[in-house]
Amino acid sequence: MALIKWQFLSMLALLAAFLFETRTAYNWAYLMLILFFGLRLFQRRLTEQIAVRRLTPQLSLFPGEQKEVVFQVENKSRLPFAWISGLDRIPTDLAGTRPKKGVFSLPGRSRVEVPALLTARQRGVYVLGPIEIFIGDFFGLSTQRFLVDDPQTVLVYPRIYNLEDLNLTSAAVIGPITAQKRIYPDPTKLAGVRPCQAGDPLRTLHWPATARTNSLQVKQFEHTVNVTCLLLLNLDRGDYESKKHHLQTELAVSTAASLSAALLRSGAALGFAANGVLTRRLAQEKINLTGSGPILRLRPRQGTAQLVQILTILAGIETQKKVGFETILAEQSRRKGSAAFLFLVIPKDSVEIVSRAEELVRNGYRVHIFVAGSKIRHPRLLHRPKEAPLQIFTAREKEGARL
Amino acid sequence: MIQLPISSVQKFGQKMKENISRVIVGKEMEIKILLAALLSGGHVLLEDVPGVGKTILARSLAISFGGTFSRIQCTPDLLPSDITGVSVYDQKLNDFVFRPGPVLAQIVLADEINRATPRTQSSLLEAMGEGQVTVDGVTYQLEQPFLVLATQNPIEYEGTFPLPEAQLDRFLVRLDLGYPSLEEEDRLLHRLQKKHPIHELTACTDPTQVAELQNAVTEVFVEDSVRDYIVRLVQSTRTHSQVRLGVSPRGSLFLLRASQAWAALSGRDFILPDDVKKMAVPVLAHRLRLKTRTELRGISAAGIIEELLAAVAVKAEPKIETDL
Amino acid sequence: MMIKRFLPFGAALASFCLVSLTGQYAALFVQGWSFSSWLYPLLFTAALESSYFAAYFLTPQVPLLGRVLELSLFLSPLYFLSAGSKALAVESLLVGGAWLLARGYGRQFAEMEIKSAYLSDYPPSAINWEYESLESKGYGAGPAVEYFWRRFFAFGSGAVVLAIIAERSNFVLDSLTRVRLGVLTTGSLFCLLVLQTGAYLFRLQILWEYAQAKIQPGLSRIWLKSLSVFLVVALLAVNAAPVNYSPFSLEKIGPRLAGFLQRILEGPALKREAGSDFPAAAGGPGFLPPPSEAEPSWWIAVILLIYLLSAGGIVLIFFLILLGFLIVEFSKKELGGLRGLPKLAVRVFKALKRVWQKLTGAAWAEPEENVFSPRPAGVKEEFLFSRLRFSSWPEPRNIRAQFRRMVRLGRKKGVSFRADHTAGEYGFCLQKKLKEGKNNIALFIAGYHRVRYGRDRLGPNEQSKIMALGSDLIKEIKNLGKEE
Repeated sequence: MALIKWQFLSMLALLAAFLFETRTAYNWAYLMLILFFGLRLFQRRLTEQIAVRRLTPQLSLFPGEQKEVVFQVENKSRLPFAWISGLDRIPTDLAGTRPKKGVFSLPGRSRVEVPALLTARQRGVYVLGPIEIFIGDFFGLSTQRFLVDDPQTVLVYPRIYNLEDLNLTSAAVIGPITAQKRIYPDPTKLAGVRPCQAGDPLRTLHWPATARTNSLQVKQFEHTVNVTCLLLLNLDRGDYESKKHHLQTELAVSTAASLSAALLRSGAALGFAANGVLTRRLAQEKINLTGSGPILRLRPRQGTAQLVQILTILAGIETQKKVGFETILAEQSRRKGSAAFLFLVIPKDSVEIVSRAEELVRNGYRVHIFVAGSKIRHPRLLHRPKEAPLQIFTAREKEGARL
Repeated sequence: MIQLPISSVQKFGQKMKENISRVIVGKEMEIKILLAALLSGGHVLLEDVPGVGKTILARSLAISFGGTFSRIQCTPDLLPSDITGVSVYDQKLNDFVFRPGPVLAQIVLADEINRATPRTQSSLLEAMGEGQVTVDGVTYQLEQPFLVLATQNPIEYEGTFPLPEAQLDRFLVRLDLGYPSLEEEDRLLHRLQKKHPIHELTACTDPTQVAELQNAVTEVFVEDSVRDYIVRLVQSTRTHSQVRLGVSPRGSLFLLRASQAWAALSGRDFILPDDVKKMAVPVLAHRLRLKTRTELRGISAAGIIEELLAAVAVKAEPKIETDL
Repeated sequence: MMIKRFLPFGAALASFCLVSLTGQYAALFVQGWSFSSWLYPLLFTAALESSYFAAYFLTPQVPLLGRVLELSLFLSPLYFLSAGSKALAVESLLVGGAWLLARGYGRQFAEMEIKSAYLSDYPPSAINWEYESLESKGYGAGPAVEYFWRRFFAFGSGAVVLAIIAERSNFVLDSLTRVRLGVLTTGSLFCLLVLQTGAYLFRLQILWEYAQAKIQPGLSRIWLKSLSVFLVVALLAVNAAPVNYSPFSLEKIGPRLAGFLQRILEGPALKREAGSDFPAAAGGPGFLPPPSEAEPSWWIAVILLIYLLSAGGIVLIFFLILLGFLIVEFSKKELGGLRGLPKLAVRVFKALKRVWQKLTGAAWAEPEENVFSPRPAGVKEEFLFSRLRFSSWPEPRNIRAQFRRMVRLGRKKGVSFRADHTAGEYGFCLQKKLKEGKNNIALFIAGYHRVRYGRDRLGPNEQSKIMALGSDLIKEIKNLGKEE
């Protein structure tokens, strides 16, 4: 029966009270009016005094991590709410256990916190919310439903492996750094001595050699080199095997993340470029991408902040089929001197890519190719000497690496 | 040696603070921490973005101190021998003569220390830790008191070499100066409008007095429960889930010494848990190595120390049950 | 806490109140029968047994004979206790009524639980509407637990009818009977409402259980506490509200209505009588000319109809204005969503408002936003303790004991001493609360520090000075909140 019928009956009760003028009839009519009119209107008015807010700040997780997110419901009025239920809409890939609805009774001027457990399983950019709130009275006369649209972005970074867990050695990443671009003489690397010439600073005199040769000798230092690296990730869908697309993509992204972490930890300045597309949800994040066009690029920088930037991009990057990896490589060979090391993370070592890599080597780069998950087609480039400018490695997740 | 009373430490502190405040606007807490480091015989690392007054503060302290002072401007091409000194061949004597480096002064200001290469940075290690330098097999004792004041830019800045853990551990405190407040900056501009006051700064103490005060500070009484609090606090850094490398035993010793100095500067001959709390972040934060994931989340070592200060029980009055 | 175990008790109480009320009225109506006091326990026991049995044990498999025996358990004592056959009949009806009423409620609780078994066919995530899941209704279809609402309305209306009949029958009621009737009527309404909310809560609990919701501990307790406040306020308001002010009561419109009816039925005779008894009326000034004999008598029916329509219309407009006023006052921002009668009421009210504004030329001030001022950071009730309790403690013997006393007292006044607090920090927290002792606290804490952490003992003078400070502070902390 609709509520209007009960409201009509309330009016009849009031009419009866007016006609028969009995206290009991009046009391009854008043009670009915309070219940079927007053309470409903009052409840509606009260709901304006409910405030829902999230208490957890911006979240970023690594796969396997768990984190509790909390939203708070506050009753700002002095009057109680019979019951309120709240449920935060959590994406399935992020829900720890099945998200549970929180039910509570809120006295006046009180607040309650509703927690939910997040478990990061899969890299990505997720949005929590909206929060669904039901508010009811004591008698079930009116239940109101609200959707509180206070979205919160949760970044799940790609898994970062130790290099050994990807069947890689640290030598594969850092390698013997040979200078392509000299910065200044490194005082820690004495290359030898030479006779003093006009203009040589006095502090570079090598006194033992001067004494020995009885003529002024100055130290000759090796030049320090820039250890600027560039990591290039191939996310051209056409290069991935359709059957293993998901697994291969995730391995490539994780390999890129692990290499970035290892390089930046070693103090190198690392840049990043990929031919993927960013998920729309990542738009709110502060990423200092350079240039425009189909290729995502990050300028080489050092430190944790750079790693955060790269991981953020990798959290929300997806494959695409418009821009081939060769485009990036061709563009790179035109940008001479921007980096000394190139780390290519690719799903397969196609002939085109390897020939482009060889061209880059001819232009003075050192190129390490990491093939994520598939068989190597250029075995000649495997197990080469450390100093070889072009090498190829296979990145494969070791068994038990995730444990 | 005559034992000076604690009140003289407080007087010294006030005198130094007034003198340094003629140059530095505000930053009273930082100046007091700096003096605490000086009195406990520790070295100071000033870390912040360029232009907030790190070098000026260090120079002010050095001038006020009155001892021998030298300054090293660290650059990537700085050699270890540029710091420690070098044996020069003297043709007249037909022998090598030691030409001392800037480290053989009482106050050494190593400006922008993280611009020097790790090997050059390491050349300061022996001087800082043991108060001596060895050049060409000969060991030279440094004159006491000896204080290294190093300034550095945040590590994220390009072209910097982060200080190795061993070297960081040798600094008693690390201070972030931060930007001045609106009012402080206004006063600063007003004061520097004509001439920089540092040129008029004079010494207000002498190294002998400082050495005596350093001795007085070691006599500050430490009650068992406070010592226990320091130990528990330092222990907790080693078991924290977000910390890769906790505070070393040297860290707990430095915390004790710094707390003693702080108490003495406050005019007390005993230390309080409050002194430990005051000194915990400057003394301990730079000794923590956080896990990569923690760093990625933007959690700072100072934040972890503050979290631990709120978690480790002080046990102020063991007979009282505390609330959560 | 599943509320089901308490619901049959509520049902029994409601049934008992309702039947006792009916019995009280029956004692007025049935000549030669009075409501015996022993009937109360019997009615209550019958209701209690019936509701619990129905809620927990009654199934279709229980044989009819069993039910008869169950009822006869309560009816058979009547045979011995009743004085006469008339009394036996009335009392049997009452006991049977209480038994049946309670049974109906009990059965309903059992059925709610049976229905809930269907929910197990759905995944928990599908049970997301507290509103309709048990009855498969659309959102906003009508009130939940309608069975209870129907009974509520029926029993409430029944009580009103009985009260009207009793009043119209001109029974002379003694004060005790009046009180009894009043208490039973209020008690019945109270119990019915508690039962209503209890049933609703039970229904919600079933839904939440199947939806695997995380229920706040003590939800039922908080709910019932808030409800009891609401009910007491509502019932007080209802009883305090004005009565007997109607301009359209039966007493006022009844004689006129009767007169008109009489005229319709006996029109010509009346006219004749009027012509013979009141000759002046025929052509006298100030009187309406009597209708000519040629005129038909239907005009009286028309006037009566017009009168009835206008009376009804005025009553209706009056209600609409009142309702419109209430709606506008209570839900200012949600008028757009109104439908049906409330919408009409708001329109009528607004039209009247416009007319009034035009007539008076005055603009009605919009009521201010209902903004509650935040609760002042005062002392909570729980921190008020009796002086007796504090004064029974022995005086602290030294400074450390004084500090401990301060901590204990301070905790009760809302200044908690956390594990990570130092004495200095705690002193600072206390300082913020104290008025006179603001400066003393710093001095006292400094002294305490020397005693607690220092190497040397305090001199006797110094110690007594600090202890005097401590005593003053303890007194001030004790008095914290009392002035407020």
